[in-house]
Amino acid sequence: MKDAFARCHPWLNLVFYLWVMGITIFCMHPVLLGLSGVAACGYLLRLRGWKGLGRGCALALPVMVLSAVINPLFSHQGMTVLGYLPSGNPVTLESLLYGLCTGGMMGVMVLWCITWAQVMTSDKIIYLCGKGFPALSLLISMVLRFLPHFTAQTQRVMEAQRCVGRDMRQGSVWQRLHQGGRVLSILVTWSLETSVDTADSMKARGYGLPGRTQYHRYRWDLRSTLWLAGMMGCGIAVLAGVATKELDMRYAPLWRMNEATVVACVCYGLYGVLCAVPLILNGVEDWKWRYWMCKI
Amino acid sequence: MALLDVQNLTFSYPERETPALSGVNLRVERGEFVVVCGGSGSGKSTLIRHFKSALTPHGQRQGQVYYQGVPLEKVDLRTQASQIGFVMQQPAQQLVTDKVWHEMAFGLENLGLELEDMHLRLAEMASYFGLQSWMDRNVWELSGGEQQMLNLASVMAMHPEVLVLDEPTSQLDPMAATEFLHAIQRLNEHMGLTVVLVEHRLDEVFPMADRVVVMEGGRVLWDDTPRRVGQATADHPLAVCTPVPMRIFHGAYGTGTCPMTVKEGRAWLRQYQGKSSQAQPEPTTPTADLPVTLEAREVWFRYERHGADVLQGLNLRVPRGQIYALMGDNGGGKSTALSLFSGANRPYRGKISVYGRDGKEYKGNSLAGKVLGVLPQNPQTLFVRDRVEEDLWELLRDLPLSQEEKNARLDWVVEQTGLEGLLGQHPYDLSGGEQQRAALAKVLLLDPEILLLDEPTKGLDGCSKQTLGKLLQTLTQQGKTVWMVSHDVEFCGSYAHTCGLLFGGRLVSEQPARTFFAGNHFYTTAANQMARGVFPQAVTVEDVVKACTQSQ
Repeated sequence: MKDAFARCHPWLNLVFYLWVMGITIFCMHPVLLGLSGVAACGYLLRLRGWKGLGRGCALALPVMVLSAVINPLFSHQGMTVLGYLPSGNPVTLESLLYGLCTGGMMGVMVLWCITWAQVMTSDKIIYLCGKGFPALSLLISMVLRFLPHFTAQTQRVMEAQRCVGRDMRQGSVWQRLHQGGRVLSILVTWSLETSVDTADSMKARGYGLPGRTQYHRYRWDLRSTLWLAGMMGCGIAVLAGVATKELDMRYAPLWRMNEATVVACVCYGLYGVLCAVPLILNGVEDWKWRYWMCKI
Repeated sequence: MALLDVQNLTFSYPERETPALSGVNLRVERGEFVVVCGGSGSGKSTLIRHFKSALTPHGQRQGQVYYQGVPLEKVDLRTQASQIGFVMQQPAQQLVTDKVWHEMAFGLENLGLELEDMHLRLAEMASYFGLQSWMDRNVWELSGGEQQMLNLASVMAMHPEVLVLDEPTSQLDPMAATEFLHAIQRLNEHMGLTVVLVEHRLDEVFPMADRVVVMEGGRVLWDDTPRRVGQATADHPLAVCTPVPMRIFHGAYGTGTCPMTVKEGRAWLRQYQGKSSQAQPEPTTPTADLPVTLEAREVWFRYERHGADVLQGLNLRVPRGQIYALMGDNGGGKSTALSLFSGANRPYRGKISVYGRDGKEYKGNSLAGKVLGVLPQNPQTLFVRDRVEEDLWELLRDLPLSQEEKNARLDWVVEQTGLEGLLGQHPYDLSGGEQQRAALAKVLLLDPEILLLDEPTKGLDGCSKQTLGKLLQTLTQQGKTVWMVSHDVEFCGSYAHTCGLLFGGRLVSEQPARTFFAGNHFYTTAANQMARGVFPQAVTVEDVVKACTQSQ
């Protein structure tokens, strides 16, 4: 894996996503949303290039626009009236802003989720689950193993059936359904048969003995502790800002955002740093490489 | 004290009259390599499943199995899990998790090992088996041979005292099977690991084994060194599975030490040097005047637009009424060629014709089925019902035939494939050879003129191969054409009329089988390798035996 953040310990990845996504969702603050959005775009660009970023935005932007348009049509709270709908209901600045921010929040979440899929591989999720729910973690791994096995067998059965003139892609709807049912029923038999073998293999290798441990290949080092401490610090500072109303956004009845005081600006900065952790990690790594290459 | 000691073991499955094992005695000493063989239903799998409590089948049991002098049920499960390693038949189905590294660690996790120990053991296993580069791969992306090697490595990571294997190579192609068996032999020789192996590739395992146990009807028939067992089985149906030099030696009533390998066989055969050459094998029929059924002309194919060409100008003609075998290595394009003939894929350049008509003219299902019958590599994929007879009727019902014709067709097919006693069984319960025949029966119901077979001998023991070969010969005598893709040099040498060798997407050789094998140096049958220099024209065991007896 080329990405420096994805190579970090799974707990670091998880803590990062919990902070960033949590703050994005629960403090729907326009500035924080903006910071989060920019960082998400930047990281997506880093992971998937311009093409990937374009695709991500194509998914996120419509969500944002749609929400900004639809909210004022149905919600009429707020005191700053911009105009009136044909039905006589007012369109207010507050409902427009609220729609825009909700949409923005959803859009940013979409972008983060795309990076999540790339960073949090099945291995990491299995490892993280294993801490609290070892049985669930093994189950995920087995399901992930079984699904491709099952689809491959389905392909083979359909191909074999086509060769004896039972093509699923031809014939009337009834014939296709009928054939599909037959294939499905034999696949169920096949799965049962397979699972007997798998169960034997598990028993033979001692599954069910008390005191099962979990193998993983992640290492927690001092660097991880430092990064964790940094992320926790940034996150807690932003939360403190929110709790003390230094960071505050009200949408109804009259929209009002906190003043850009020194404390607020520091909080913005810290949240920006938090969101940019993957980019910073990658940047530092790139810089080091370039530095050493120059020396050589 | 023997490592494993089976004393007077009798076992019957519930609701079965005849016992699966009766009065079996077997001692396995530390460091021994024991091969257990026998026909299907001889009780060999049932026997070795008694070597591990977790796998012991349910049923009525008398007698006792001792592990290091202790009755097996008194040995605690943790010890059994780590010290008695078990590898089964199906490579894919034994895999539990999704990643190679996780699969290797699975057993160690169960034993409750510390993380550092697991790191070390995985590192050891990965370097011993050469799996370093696979560690991050998904298990389903591995080939069957690689999967089975992974199963072996994951069992070996638990540091077993004895390794028990139940037909581990039956689902592998010959190359992968040989590699796997050599890995077992290496473990036995270098690490002193005790091995109990159930296997039907006897020609490969005889030279490796210290002892061979032959089972029949739940009893131990012979239990002796490979050479003596070879001597004893000379007139037994199992003889077709024994190494080729052994079969030639017994066929020609040889004297002296029985040869087991080609090397020993050549040394023994040297006594016939110079006496030979009055025995000429029968001339092969010229194929040029036979009508052509399948033809590929300058066929090019690739799977992806920017991918490499799998077939590069393939030219191939299959004469009517013959068995044509296309041979070659993995990835050489054999299965791709089959998919083009069956109509699953289309060439991007060149032409495939069936009876002189372009393959494209046969719309939809009209080609697959009526003219061509395709037997897939895994016969299991053809079955959709839970009884063989119902499965056959399922296909027959929709054919445009009268009731009498249908009955007649069914009777003919059942008689041809010898399925009489098996019609009431579940297709999944049949042995490998029986499944192959049931699948072939299903294809034959459509009365195709050309049969396309993909690796038809995969997973079959010697006797089933013989049955299949004779069945194919009968079909060609009735005017059908058989085109198969195969790795199995011995099978093609015995039954094919024409052989083609595919390499790098091109046909590098296409000749009558006899000329083909007599001309090749490495890609040829064991009998030919052995007799080369003495009887250069001999390709099969029968040829060499005939040449030997005639020159005496």
